[in-house]
Amino acid sequence: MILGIAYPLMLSFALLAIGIAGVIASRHFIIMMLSIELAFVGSIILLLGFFDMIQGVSLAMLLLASIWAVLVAEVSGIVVFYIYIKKRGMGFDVSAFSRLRD
Amino acid sequence: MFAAYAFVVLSAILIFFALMIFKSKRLLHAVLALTGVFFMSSVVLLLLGQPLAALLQLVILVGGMSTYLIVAVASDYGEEKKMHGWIFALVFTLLFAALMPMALFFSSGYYLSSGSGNFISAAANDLDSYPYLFFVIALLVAASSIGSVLLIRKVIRLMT
Repeated sequence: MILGIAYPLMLSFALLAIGIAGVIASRHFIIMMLSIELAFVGSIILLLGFFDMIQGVSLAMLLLASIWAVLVAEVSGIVVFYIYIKKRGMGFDVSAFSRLRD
Repeated sequence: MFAAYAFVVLSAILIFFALMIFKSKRLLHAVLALTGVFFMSSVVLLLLGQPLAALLQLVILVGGMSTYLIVAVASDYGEEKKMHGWIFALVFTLLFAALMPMALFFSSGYYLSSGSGNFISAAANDLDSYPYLFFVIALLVAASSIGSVLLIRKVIRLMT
């Protein structure tokens, strides 16, 4: 590794900030999910940037595999949701989903 | 020094793609921008000295997931989205400013040693300790896929 930890740290924090800002500022469900994926990409970069600080390497590998698995599951959820909502002719505004809390 | 410059340039391209997700008016363009983010992140991982992780990231996210998303979203090109640009800019600025002290704290005096080896090949040496946890991860994907379908059925029932 020829780079310091500062570079991946800054990049992952920037991606995390963009992701959270996207979730807060957007009302479109798909864009909110894509924002969460951005935060996940930031976490992957952070995890591999901190590689030398990780004590149990295999547990870190499990964490990396878990992040990938959650990303894959999220994308499959997005696609299923998109197709269902489109077939029903409904919109993606999350304000309309508030009835799910009941 | 060249690696640092390359990292800054690649990071700038990555952040540009990330911002294009919110800037683009069409949903398809947003998904294409996310594909760019995935691709550039794998290049960044390559620069961080983790070629196998970069390759896996490329195969899983760009090759699999992005293609899946693009094919699904491309079926309806006319989808438009709205965005509160000023809220986005405000939240991003506040969050990044709040996270900056943490980045400075971690980066002060700490540098990764050279030749630290490959992350995944190092992990492969003692993966035998946790074989069942990988099955749990695989089950997580299957369970979330089934759960998303069940949840969406509930959403459809509530909204119609």
